[in-house]
Amino acid sequence: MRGTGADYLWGSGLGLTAMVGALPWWGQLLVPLACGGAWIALRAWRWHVVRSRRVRILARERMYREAFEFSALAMAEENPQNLAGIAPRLLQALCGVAGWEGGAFWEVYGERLICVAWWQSPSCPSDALEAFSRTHQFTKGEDFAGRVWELNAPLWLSEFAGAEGWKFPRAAAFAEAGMRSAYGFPMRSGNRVVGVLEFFGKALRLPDAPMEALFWATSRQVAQLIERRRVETQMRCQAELLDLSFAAIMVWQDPGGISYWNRAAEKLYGYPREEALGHSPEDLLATRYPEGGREAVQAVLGKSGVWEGLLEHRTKSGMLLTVESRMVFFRGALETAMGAVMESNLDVTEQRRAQAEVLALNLALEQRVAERTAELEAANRELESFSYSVSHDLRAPLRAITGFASILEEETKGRLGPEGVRLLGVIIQNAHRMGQLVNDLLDFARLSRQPLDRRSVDMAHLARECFEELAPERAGRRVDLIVGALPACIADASLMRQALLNLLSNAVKFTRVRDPGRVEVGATVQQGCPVVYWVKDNGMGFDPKYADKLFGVFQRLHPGDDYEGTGVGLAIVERIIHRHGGRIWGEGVVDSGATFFFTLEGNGHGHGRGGDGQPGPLNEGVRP
Amino acid sequence: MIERADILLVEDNPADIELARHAFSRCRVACRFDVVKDGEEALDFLFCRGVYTKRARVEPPRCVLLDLKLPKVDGLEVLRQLKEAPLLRRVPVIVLSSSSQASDIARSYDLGANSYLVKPLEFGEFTQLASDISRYWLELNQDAQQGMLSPSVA
Repeated sequence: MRGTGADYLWGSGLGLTAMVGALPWWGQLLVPLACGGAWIALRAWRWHVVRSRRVRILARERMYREAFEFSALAMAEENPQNLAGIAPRLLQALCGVAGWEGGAFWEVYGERLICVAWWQSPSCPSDALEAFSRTHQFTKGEDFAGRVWELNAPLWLSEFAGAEGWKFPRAAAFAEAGMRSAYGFPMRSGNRVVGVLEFFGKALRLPDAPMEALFWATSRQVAQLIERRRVETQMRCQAELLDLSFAAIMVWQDPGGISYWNRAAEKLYGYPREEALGHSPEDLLATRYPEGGREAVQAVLGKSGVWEGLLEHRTKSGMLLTVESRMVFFRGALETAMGAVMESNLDVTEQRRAQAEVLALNLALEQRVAERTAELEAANRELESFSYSVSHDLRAPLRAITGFASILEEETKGRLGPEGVRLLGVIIQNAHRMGQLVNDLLDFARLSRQPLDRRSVDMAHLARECFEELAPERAGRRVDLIVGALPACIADASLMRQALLNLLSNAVKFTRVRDPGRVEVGATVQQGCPVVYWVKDNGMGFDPKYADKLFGVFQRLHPGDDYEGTGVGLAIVERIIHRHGGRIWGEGVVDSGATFFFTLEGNGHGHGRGGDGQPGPLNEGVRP
Repeated sequence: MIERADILLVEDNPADIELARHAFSRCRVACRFDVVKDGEEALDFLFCRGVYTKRARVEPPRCVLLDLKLPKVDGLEVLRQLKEAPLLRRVPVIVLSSSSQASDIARSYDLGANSYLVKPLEFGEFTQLASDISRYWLELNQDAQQGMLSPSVA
């Protein structure tokens, strides 16, 4: 393209020969002479032209070299973080030597190509193109720059011929800016494209070999810079991440000491990074190893590459810490061939202290529970031996009283007056009564010790059975039993039998004044509430104000002369119901019968009081 | 040589002893009584030891009426030793206790008691019981020691 001077000269030589033929003889005679002179002049001229061309080529090469040296130097000295800052200067230098009007610097970010720098010749402003380029990102294969990325090779485009069928968003902007040719160059790190250099111009320019060489060299430099920056950024990010970590992280070698010390370590141990670096962590932190000591830790670390456990460390201020430590052995990450250990420690001092406290509390609690249990067991044993004594020792004198009274009665027959006989009878009767009391009391005491054997119990059947059993007590009277629909329950059958027997016996006893006596057994079933069983009679009833005394041991609401009994029956029933987790309460009106209600679950408080109208129990039943 | 007793009554309560004497005296079947007042004495008597050494070679009683709650050695221990002794284990032991506790009953039978009776409260019942015991154990039952003056080998 350039270097056309010789052709002009040659063209002017031909013109000269034509002119010679038209000259006169003398003139023609002069021609060889003139030709010789001209030839000499021509040689001289050619020599000059060739020389000046060589000079120019040399000058251009020098320029290229200088440009390259400039860019290489700039980049070598430059902080890779400032790539965007030097890129325009690089573009300018390259445009200057290669005669382009402008250039762009594209970088690959993930799946996108982004224009990070731009230079354009002041004589040829192409602002619209720049704006478009800076605001658009291209995928691989898209637009001219994306095409270079995809090809991973230099791409030359003139008059944008061959760009038909491309996805070329900037085509219009290029045309508008008056650009006719473009040259793109991939920047590679290894074989991976990390960016694209792009140049464009108004003239049609073809790249020549030195220029291409220059571009290769430059692009490699830039790619290295980009790669360096990427690695640096990554490393800085990782370092920052480590600094963000809650765990105190250090890297150390033995020998060599600590080479990394994160912010959490500074905070935890109180040593700033500068103070920690180079020291062995063992010396710095007065490490106390768990059982087996340092050797055990090293053995595990050497074998599996990882050690986890608890260590004790002393901080700069002298505080003793317990840390949960994790040491990982790693090779190659550091410049030395020797492996290093990354140790990350979590302060668990407080946690351990709290744990110890909880443990101590638990121990104390267990101790107390054990003590209480022992006390309870002792009390139980005492109670047992008490009831044993009662059953054994209390009965002996009773036997003696009744026995000797009987013997006396027998042996003094006829000699004792009627009053004497009556009095002896009173003695015997009372001794019997006391015997009954003792028996009932023992039954009552036994109830709380016997384990529950829960199974399904047919309540209706049980009620009828119990009623049958009471036949002797209703001898000579008519007592009707009405058994309603009774749902089965889960309970201890023998205890349930005792409870029903006592309730029915009560009912039979207190209906003595009626003819016929009437005893009803029924149940109230309500959704969401425990089943309420009840036993109702049309007997004597009771004064509701004494309702709370119904279930006390030896509590009687009727004089013993009228109704036999020791007053333990209902207390036994209550104990049975309570042991099943249920409630029992009674309602009554004097001379109008009594009703006893009970549930077998949903143990609540408070007994429904008879007389205040509604059976509170149904409403109370829902209480947890 | 002291004559062989029909019944050895092991009972510490004097009132009960007297009541028993009265009750058994009313029985149709006459029976000879020996009475010991605690477990240790009972064992001495049966094994012919201590103050009962001179009872040597006298046959054991036809049966033993044993109270459980006894001073020194309790009734269950007496029962155990008795039933472990080759010479004595065939002697019927009738436990006569105020206790109707299931555990007492079970333990007694486990140790080899031949009968378990609860002392009735009423004297009339007690007389009846005495009569039943003498009738059953002394009259109806064969003597366990019949022709057995030498030790049992079994």
